[in-house]
Amino acid sequence: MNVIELFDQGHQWFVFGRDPGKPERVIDTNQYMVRAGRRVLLIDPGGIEIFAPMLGANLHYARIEQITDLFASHQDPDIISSLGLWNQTLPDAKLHAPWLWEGFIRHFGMDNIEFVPIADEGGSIDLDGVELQFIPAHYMHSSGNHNVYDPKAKILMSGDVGAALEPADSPMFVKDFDSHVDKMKMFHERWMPSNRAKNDWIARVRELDIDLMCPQHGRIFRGDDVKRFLDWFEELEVGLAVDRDPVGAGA
Amino acid sequence: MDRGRSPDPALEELHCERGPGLSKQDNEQDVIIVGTSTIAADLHRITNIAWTVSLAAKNARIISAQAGELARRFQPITNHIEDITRSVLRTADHVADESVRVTQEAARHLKCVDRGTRFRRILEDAAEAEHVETLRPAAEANRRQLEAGLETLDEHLGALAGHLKHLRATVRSALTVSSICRIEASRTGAYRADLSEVAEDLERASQEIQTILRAGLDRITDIREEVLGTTGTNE
Repeated sequence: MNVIELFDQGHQWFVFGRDPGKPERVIDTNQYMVRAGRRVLLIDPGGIEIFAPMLGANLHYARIEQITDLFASHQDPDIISSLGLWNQTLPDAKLHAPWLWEGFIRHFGMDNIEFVPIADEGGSIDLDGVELQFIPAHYMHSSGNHNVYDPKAKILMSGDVGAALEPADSPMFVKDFDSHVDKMKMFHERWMPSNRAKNDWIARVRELDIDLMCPQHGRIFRGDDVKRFLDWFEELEVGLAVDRDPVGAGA
Repeated sequence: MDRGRSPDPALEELHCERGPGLSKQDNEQDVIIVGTSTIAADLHRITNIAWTVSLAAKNARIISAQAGELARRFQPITNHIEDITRSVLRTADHVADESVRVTQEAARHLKCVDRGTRFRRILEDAAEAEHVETLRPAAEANRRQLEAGLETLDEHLGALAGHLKHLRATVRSALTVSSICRIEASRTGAYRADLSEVAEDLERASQEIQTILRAGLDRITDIREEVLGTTGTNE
């Protein structure tokens, strides 16, 4: 699994992804690690299929007992189906996830790790002196969904927002935004269900100071590409799997 | 997963595979899942058969009452048949409970084996990682859990085999009763055909249950051989 350091000023951000050993039909995912002092947070640690390469890569940067916190943006299998394995690996860890999904996520197996519910309004954690904020991203795409924002590093882990579907050996950063749009369009049209929720999220995120916007699939947006993404996304109509003009509704 | 290429002999003590590799693990999975689910399905058949015999016994009681003095010696046999079916149904309930426990324990075992395989992969593939040694306590805990789980699985398999053997003894006595039943039916004049049919039903049901029990005990032996490396004391 490839690893790139995204930030290193007192605390560190790493992205883990583009695993060459990943089974072909398993969607490629980006996992993130925030290391601060003696504690480590893993953000959307991934599915069962990538548990071994993910943890193997993690062990280059952290000891097992340092990994004290997991974050799941929502309940999907590519986000957190590895939970049952982490549960038997981490001696003393907490899982931060939307309250809405606790009963569902527990189906992955969690009798050792402590579940810490995140309220609909969001919240924060203090990771050994580093404040990380949980930003509400409901219906983006899951009905209970949060992003992680680090005000000091100016990094927003945006979950499925900003995701792109492309080969697993693609570059980790967006280089040409215009050519990247095609790789994101269908994903957002189909996976994002609500224009209202989308615009609510965009308004919230525009308030944040962001250098890096890091999605769970695809490439990371840097600098001005973050604003380009928000502008593009604002114009995009989402929730296209249902008929936009059902019989009778447009009459 | 080639044990021969393992760079670290200590890994051999940590991983959870008991055979040459993934194919062994897959086979183990097949034997456990297919074995336990087949036992559970077959036992459901036993319950159905026992209910059928129970109804036949009730029917025989009515016929023998109609036959009056002619079926005087047949009437106590219907009580006996009903006792046997009640015993079969009761034991089948225990067997069903135990087979659920076996399935649950087998699922836990397979998860443990899977976890051990993943831990092993990490310890091999990330052998150069600075903190790889910090994974060993979890891998060792998993190995201990696997061993304890195997003991528990063996206990449940033993209990299940015990219930099946108890059922087998009950069914043997049902076969004896069916012979007596046939003899007494022959003395009931006009009612002979109806009551002989009861004897035949009982005999057929007993033989069918015996076949199911034999298959169930064989499957338990297979699971024990494949997963535990023992044969237990089924036979």
